Amino acid sequence: MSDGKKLSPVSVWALAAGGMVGGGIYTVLGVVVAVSAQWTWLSFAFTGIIALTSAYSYVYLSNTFNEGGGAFEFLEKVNDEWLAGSLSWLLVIGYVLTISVYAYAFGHYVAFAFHGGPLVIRLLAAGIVAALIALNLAGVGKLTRVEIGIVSVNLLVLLALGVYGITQWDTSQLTSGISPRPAWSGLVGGAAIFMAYEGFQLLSYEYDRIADPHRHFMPTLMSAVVFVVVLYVAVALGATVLGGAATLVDFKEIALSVVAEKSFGTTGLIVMTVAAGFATAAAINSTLFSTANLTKQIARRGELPDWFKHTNGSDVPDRSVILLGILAGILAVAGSLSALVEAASLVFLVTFGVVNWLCWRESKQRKWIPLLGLIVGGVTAVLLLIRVGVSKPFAFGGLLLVVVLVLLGRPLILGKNQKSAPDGDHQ
Amino acid sequence: MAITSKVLTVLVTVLLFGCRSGEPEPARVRVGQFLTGTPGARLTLSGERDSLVFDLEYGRLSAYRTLSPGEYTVEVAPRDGGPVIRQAVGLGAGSRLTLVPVGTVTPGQEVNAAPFLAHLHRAVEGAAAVSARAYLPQLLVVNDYFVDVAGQGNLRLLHLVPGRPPVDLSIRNAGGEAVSQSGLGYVHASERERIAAGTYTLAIHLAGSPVRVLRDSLTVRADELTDLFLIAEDAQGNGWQIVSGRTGK
Repeated sequence: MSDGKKLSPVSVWALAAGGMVGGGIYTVLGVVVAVSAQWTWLSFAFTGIIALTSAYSYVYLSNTFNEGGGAFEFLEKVNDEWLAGSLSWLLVIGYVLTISVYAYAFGHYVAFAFHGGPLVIRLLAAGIVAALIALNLAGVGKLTRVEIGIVSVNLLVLLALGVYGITQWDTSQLTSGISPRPAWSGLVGGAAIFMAYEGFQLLSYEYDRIADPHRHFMPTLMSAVVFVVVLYVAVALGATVLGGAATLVDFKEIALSVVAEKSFGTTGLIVMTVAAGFATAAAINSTLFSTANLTKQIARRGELPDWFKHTNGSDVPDRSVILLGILAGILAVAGSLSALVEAASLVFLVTFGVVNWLCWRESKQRKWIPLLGLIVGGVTAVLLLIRVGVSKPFAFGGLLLVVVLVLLGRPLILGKNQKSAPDGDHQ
Repeated sequence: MAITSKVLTVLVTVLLFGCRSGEPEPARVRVGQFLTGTPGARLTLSGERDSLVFDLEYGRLSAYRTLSPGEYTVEVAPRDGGPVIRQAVGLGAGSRLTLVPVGTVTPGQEVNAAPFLAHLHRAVEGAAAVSARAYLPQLLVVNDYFVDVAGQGNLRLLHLVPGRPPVDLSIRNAGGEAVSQSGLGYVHASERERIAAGTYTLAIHLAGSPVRVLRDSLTVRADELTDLFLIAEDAQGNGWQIVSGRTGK
């Protein structure tokens, strides 16, 4: 299906659901259980509202403009170039963070199965990024059929784990080894892990490949997001019942493997490692592919230096692939899980907020849907800023610095770039 | 259709094989009484179905006791005073936990006294919030679950001496250094380090310094988690000592 064939609704559904689940849930579960304990399911349900309303807004805007391309393209369409440029930079940073989280998860899950230590974890995280950089440079970065196969297996494994856990219901496990938390903690937990939902919007870059998008895209994407919200709630409850809250918190980097091993022994560990390994690798691959193409598109509009327009003989934006991959690899090797997850969550909350705002502005009817997304997303973003400010003041400062650099430094870099390299592609 | 039928097959299979049977396994709990400023303390667990009292001298680690799974209120009081800690804790079926009151009791101590920032950390980080709380009494709930690897033991160090700087840990045998951990601060625990079963020399230094705090021999057994609780030598908070606790499968 990488040969230009149109994507059927089933393929779109699988890619959207797989894009969300492919990495997120493997890394965020322990983080959210620590914050929300027995209200972890509420975290996923609450932030699911933002995912649902944002999915609606993405599809609405794609259909309205009859073009994909995501937030950057939508802003260009309404001639808000300043916001388009600033947001595109933040979005690229968000994707780099996301790739690093997936690589981090890949390293931990695979190393755990082979009893590897910190060095093995880092080598695996860096190795998978390097391998997928090479795959993309060779021009085989988009393997839709393979991706659909991987995400289908991944979804089935997670669904089975969640449902099995729920059949073993034991309320005491939801707070085992930790203190029960108030219901509002579910909102704080959701804020910390919002990135678990970001994957569906990669489909907006594939808009022109979707068969009859005006008819199929909305119901397909919305049903995929609803499914993922239900799946996350099921996994949050089921895995916690099987593993116990404190164990998920203590082993947050490999929470689902520990749960699988505890419940099903070595077989469970093998199945979960294979699922997590392939899911995170597929997620890295598709995010790297889409982000590199996005940077090329952004550069063509003059919002990134011309350097990013460069493509190799396979028409792959090679410099972008290499640069983005290396940055993500460094973050995966050096970063801490919750810092990476929170920074990525914040970037996507801002992005989805902008898309909901645009949809609210452009809509003639059902304006309440993007408005709801804006309100819930705003509350979530504020909670996340408070959490990061309290728990990681230095990271918070760093994040502010990056935002200021993007807002102030971008015009300077682009101004200089336009003077020095005004011509088009360098191939 | 193919996806729908696969999903249904998985769900039906899981539901058929997933029905729960029998009584849940009890939870196992032990207590390490490491509160300084008091010669001993009482720790009471009160739940809907069970309750249990531990009355321990300073520096003592109890054996595991069993309790019905559920939510419990844990209350810690110095022998000669009212409660200084009151906290709800969940005990899951089959879980193994060590409840560790730490910090320094002062006369007229309020229940759950903590600086504002500690409350804020707790609000936004939940169970992941770890702070010194100005060395006031707090309850650590230590999860004793560990991943078993054939021929290897698990080792964990917990720094529980209020007011003392971070430490470095080194575990060696004839083959060289097997485990090293640096900059472990008060109320922090190291990762569960996997280490081959055998006899080692344990050395603890002040972090980044040649000043040695402790040196001892250590036996690591396969299929066990060895917890090294680094605490003050006496209830007044002087000196250093290690209290070790073992948890089997």
